[in-house]
Amino acid sequence: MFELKHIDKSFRDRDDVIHVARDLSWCLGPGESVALMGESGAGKTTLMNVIAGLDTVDEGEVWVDGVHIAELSHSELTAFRRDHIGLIFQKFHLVPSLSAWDNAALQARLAGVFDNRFASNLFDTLGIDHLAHRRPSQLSGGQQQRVAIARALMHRPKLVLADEPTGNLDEATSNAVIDLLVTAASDVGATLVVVTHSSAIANHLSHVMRLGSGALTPV
Amino acid sequence: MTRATLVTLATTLAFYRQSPLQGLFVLTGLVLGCGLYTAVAQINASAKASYAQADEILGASAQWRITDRISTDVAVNDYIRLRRAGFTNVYPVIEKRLASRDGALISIIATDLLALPLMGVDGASADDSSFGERDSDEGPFDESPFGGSGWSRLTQSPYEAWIPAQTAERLGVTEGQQIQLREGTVLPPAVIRSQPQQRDQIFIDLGAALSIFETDRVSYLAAPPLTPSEQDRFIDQFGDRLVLSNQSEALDLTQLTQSLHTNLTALGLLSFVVGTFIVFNAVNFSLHARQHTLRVLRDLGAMRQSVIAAIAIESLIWAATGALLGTLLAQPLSAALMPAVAATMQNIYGASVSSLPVFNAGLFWEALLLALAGLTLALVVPLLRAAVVRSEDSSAKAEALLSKRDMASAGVGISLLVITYLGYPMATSVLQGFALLAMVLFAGIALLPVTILLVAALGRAGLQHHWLARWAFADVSLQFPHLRLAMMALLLTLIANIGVTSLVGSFRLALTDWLETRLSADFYVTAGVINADTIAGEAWVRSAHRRVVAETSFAGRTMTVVGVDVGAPDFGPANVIDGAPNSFIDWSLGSGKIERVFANEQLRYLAGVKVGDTIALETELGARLFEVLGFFHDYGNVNFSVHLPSHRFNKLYSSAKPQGWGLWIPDDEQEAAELGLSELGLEPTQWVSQGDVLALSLAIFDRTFAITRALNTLTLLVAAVAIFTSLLAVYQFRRPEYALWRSLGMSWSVFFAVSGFSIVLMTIVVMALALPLGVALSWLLIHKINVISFGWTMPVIVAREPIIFLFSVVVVMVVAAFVLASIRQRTVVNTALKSLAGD
Repeated sequence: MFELKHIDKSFRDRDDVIHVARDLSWCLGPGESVALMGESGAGKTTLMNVIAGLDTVDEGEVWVDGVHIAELSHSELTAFRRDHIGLIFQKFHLVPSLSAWDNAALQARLAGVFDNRFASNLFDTLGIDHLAHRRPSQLSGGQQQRVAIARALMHRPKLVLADEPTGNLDEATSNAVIDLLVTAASDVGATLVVVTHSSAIANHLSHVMRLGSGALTPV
Repeated sequence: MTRATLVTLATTLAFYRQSPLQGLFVLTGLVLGCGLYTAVAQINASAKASYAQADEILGASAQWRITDRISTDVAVNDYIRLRRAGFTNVYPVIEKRLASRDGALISIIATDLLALPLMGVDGASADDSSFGERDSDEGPFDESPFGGSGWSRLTQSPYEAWIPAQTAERLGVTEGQQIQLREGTVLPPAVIRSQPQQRDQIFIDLGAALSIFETDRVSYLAAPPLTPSEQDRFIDQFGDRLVLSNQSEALDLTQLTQSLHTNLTALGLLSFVVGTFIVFNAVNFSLHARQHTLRVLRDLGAMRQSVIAAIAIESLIWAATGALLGTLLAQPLSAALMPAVAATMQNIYGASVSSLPVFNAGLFWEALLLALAGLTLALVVPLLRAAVVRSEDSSAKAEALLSKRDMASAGVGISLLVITYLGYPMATSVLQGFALLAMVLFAGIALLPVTILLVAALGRAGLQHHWLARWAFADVSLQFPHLRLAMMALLLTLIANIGVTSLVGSFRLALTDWLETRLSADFYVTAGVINADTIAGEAWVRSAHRRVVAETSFAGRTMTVVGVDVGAPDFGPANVIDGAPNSFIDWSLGSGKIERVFANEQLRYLAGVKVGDTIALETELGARLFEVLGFFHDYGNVNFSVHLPSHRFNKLYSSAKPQGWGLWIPDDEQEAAELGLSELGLEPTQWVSQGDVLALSLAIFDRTFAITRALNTLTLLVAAVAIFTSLLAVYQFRRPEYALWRSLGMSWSVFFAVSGFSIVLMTIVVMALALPLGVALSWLLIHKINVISFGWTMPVIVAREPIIFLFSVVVVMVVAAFVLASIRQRTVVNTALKSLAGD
């Protein structure tokens, strides 16, 4: 589904240079799910941003669904992300003025692939069908994250990137949400990468990788 | 100041080092608001100082004028008698309008320079005994309007004729030349120089004038303000021979300047208010950005008092800096605006006042204190609110509070409108009238939030099936809290703009109508100096009608009864308001039992007289009843007045002194007529060219409108800055959300369509709300403030063109602010994308 070829990525933090990736290569196929772990500051979020095309690499190539994303223009990259990638954030980042339904439908509508029946099924699966008309401010953290998951899957992406999706949730809710995420991603056949600090969360996914010192190692 | 306060202050101020742009926004609001207000205050003070100066100069603008009861001029002996009787402030003036040998019209004014009551010099010292002391090129005259060197040559043989440069150019006179008059006399050698109040007149010494014209009489005697006891003494001693008249009652143009200055002050205050909206916005933003810092400070043990003290000190620093810079900005601003005001004064007083405003230290401190008080309040209130409410609490309650606040605000707005409606008939003082105006303005800004949110909700409901439109409408409610103050500022500006523009437009139209009908004669000649046969026989007279006036009183106010020739072009059926269809014919015929009159509007508004009422007035035949058949506009008159047909007037007031003639002159005969009037023995002060009055009055209004428009434009600019800074704040507040939009794959066109829709919709709602409220404001100004102040009103004319132009300017301004604020959005949002996940 995506392939990182010999990438280098570093950034400066005052006088220190943090190496996120040093000649790092990584390939993940369709439908796979993986937990990405590592210490704080190891560069997990940066690596996710690189895969999503939100950030660029210093060296190497990033291929997603057979497309070398560095060769895309800014608008092409935006459209590519819209059509093929689903993003889930720790802080949900829902649009406060829209209902849960409209929030979830947002990316699918932007991509022009919104399917009402599929959306209803997804809401059923995630257990939020009764919350469709509520605003984000009227939802709990777990409910908001389920809406964010629905948004990330609504357009049937090939790749879903979740950055600490349960970081703001309690343990019970976290387990429920991650189960739903894995199930729903599997249902749409999406490759799933979840950044997490929690081994318990990581255990819900088929593979676990650890990022440290610019390299990825299987756990 | 404790160490804790200092540390807290240093910590909170560090924000501006990190975000200097925010500091700039705070200063922008302060400096613009304060600068405009101070500029207007300075203009007003400078203008009023000049009026005071103009009042003390020459007979043309002296408060009192003394004329002969019988003759058209005053004997020099009477002048001497007056001075000997202790009226040492009286000074003689000769005014003549004559033809030169070449036929050019020239105006000559002569006075006794040594007798003038000078600026800064006690009038009593100008008596004969001090003449010797003044015979020098130095001394008190340097402080006078005729200050500077050379005045002694003017007053000593062979004398000089001081000719303004433009007059010399018109007459083709060079330095040293002597102008020869048509009858052969020669003026003293020309000196090309002008004095502040000279206008187009040639100035010579009184002694020279008496010698040249071989006379011992002057046109009139002028005097500065006389006390009531002086007036009584004058009447006792000289009342049998001389007439004392108050010039300020003759042509009350001062009222125009009052309305001008009230208008300017109101606009200055409006600018100040709009400026403080920018400040509120900037302060709110800086507080939001510092919520975390304040929370950390409190968590680290900073006492609430220390935080409040630090915030208060920061407020004072900003206020002082803003007021100081604003006052500095006021100097070039008032200098730029002053020429328009100076031109207005030129028209009103003929006063050549410097276009540069005079710096007034007292005014500076006054403005500074006012600005400090207002701005400190503007800064302290939101800052204290933020300090007292813990940040997590405020963010949690923000949405609910906003909703409650909007509802309360709408309630206040509706209440204000109801109070205005109910209070309208009860308002009887200017202060109450202005309170009504203020309530309309505040009702507008109080109703704005609910109106915008209601329109957004309706739009969202109406376009339920279009998700993007639904989203765009929903986004309005998110942007509005950030743009609330800027939109309120825009609304205030637009209401005032529409109100004042409509007022000025209505004023101008009414004035033009009034002047063109009431003063339709080309010349108006003082009565008693020409007879009907003479005037009718002149070749340059097309038509002549006489007016006769008698004075009495009604309801404690002077009542002028005017005898009007039926058929005179200056009063016809078109001038009658609210009269019955045949009222003019009934009035023309008159009646033996009850007299029929038309009354000025002042009688309606100040005395409550209605059409059909009868009023009792004293006549020479005793008290008589007069039925009011209708009213007429009587712009600017401070007294009551009724019009009687002259045939009835002559019976009731047979000994009334004819006041004057209205003369209609054929085209292109203006100059011939003026010369003809001079040849009939009339002094220039005994006729008025109505064309000049019309042009003067319209010029005053155009100048008034020019300064009003300039201030309106500046206030609009301040509102534009408020919108621009608010949009920048919106972008900064919502940057993570906008980054999210892009992360979801939103194209820039959709991005700007959704983010820009809010400002467009809000602007449209503001304009829609401003229109009726602006018209209401104009209506209140004309029908309440004007009526209370002056007792007359006029039709409210809401012209389409200026409003369309105004709205077009607003649209361009808002679009420009949006484009400017959006320029950096692409880069900024793209950068924010990278931190989205970690945010």
